[in-house]
Amino acid sequence: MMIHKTQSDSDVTLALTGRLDSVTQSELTQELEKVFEAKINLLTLDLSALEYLSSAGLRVFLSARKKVTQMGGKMKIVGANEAISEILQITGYADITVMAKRGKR
Amino acid sequence: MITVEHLSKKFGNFSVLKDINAEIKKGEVISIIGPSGTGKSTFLRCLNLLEQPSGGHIVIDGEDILKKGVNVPKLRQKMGMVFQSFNLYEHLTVMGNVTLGPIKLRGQGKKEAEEKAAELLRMVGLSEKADSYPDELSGGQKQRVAIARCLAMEPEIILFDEPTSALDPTMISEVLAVIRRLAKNGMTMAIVTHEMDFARDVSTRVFYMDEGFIYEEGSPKDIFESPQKEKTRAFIQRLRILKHEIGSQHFDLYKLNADIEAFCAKHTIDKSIVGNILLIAEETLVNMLLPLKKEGQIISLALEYAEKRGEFQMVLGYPGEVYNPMLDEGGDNLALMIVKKKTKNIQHSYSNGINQLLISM
Ligand SMILES: Nc1ncnc2c1ncn2[C@@H]1O[C@H](COP(=O)(O)OP(=O)(O)OP(=O)(O)O)[C@@H](O)[C@H]1O
Ligand SMILES: [Mg+2]
Repeated sequence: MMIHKTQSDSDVTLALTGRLDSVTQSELTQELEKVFEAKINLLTLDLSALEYLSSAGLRVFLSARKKVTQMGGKMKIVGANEAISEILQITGYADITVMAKRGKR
Repeated sequence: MITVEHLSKKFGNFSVLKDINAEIKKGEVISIIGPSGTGKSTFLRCLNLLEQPSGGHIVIDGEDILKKGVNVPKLRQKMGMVFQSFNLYEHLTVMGNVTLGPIKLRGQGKKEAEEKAAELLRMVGLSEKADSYPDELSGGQKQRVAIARCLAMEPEIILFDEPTSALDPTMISEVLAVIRRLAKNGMTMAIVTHEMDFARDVSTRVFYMDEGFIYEEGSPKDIFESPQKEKTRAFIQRLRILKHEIGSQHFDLYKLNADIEAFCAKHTIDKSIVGNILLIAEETLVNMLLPLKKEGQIISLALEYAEKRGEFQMVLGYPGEVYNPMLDEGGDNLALMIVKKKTKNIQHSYSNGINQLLISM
């Protein structure tokens, strides 16, 4: 998996490319730990280039969202493809995050 | 009516039929199915002595036709044969084709033969083609003429060798309809066919041929719904299988993924389906089964693809206590929810210390 980070002030976007699964989830966890060293207002996870997501990734999203909310910020997930949106929906993520579709890759 | 015992046939050193044993009773419709080159045609051709068998017995109405001094032409009259390639006489009209045998071989008068022929042509739906020549007919029509010609000899059994294989899909059904009607009227028939749906609903028994034997036989229900032997199953369901074993605690998800992807690529499976399979494998193995796996235990994963139905099954085997992870609501449930959403049906069973999950997608 590749993680591309862009930041302006306290808004951070992480664009994920490839697979987020039980093997790669630790990479995202580590990246998020760094992100959370400062106060975050808006965390955007851009999934436009994400090809695969399993529950291991969902758990990371869940804990990130908790962290951001504790800081008084918000998290949003954008650009998920159809298969990945379906997984986000299954697990209720679609309800608890603001989804903006960016079209399929 | 026909009993075949230890029938064998060699071409040179090449043993096509090794040991065929079969019985065909009056009124039976036998479908003969099996992979290409397994001797289905050779078997039919041996039955009416178009090929000379190398050994064994073929007993028809109590008489062993492989004994010396058998009246072969008379015997052939008892058995009609319909070929894939029609084999009509191009220089004769439809009527001429149908009446030739009865006049020449059975000594019928022209008028009698033509009356009978007209009746048969009506039966196969070709009354108005009596004066046409074969090259004026479609493939389906030619094959129906061939069937009428065969019936004109009043055979006791008709042997069909892939009667619809040379036909366009539009013409297959008209020929099958005629054969179905014959079956209904109680005609004894043996039909080599690749039309599985037809074999399934027209035949009284099915012979699956493989390896020079009648490898498995049974009712259409037996053979098509619950074949007992692996090769029959593989043929019927066009089953493709991937097997993977997980022994070490350090499970390599990407090795499994690579295997699944290669397997799916070989069978040109749609990418979205591949994604689902990978997901189910990861969720069940990583989140449900591996955490419970003890040192030395082996978890097995088999992926079965029924090409014909386009369906996938994943079969997971794991040792230990009786445990169905699909009923385990512990933890955060994310894996369970994903698996339930992405599958059709999951069955758990347990025997001899091994749990089995049968996951249909
Ligand atoms: N006259 C022959 N001489 C030599 N080999 C032959 C002869 N006839 C058939 N064979 C061989 O015997 C084997 C069985 O042939 P056969 O035609 O009976 O198979 P089949 O089951 O009818 O196959 P298909 O489904 O392709 O029609 C084949 O390997 C074939 O090449
Ligand atoms: Mg053949």
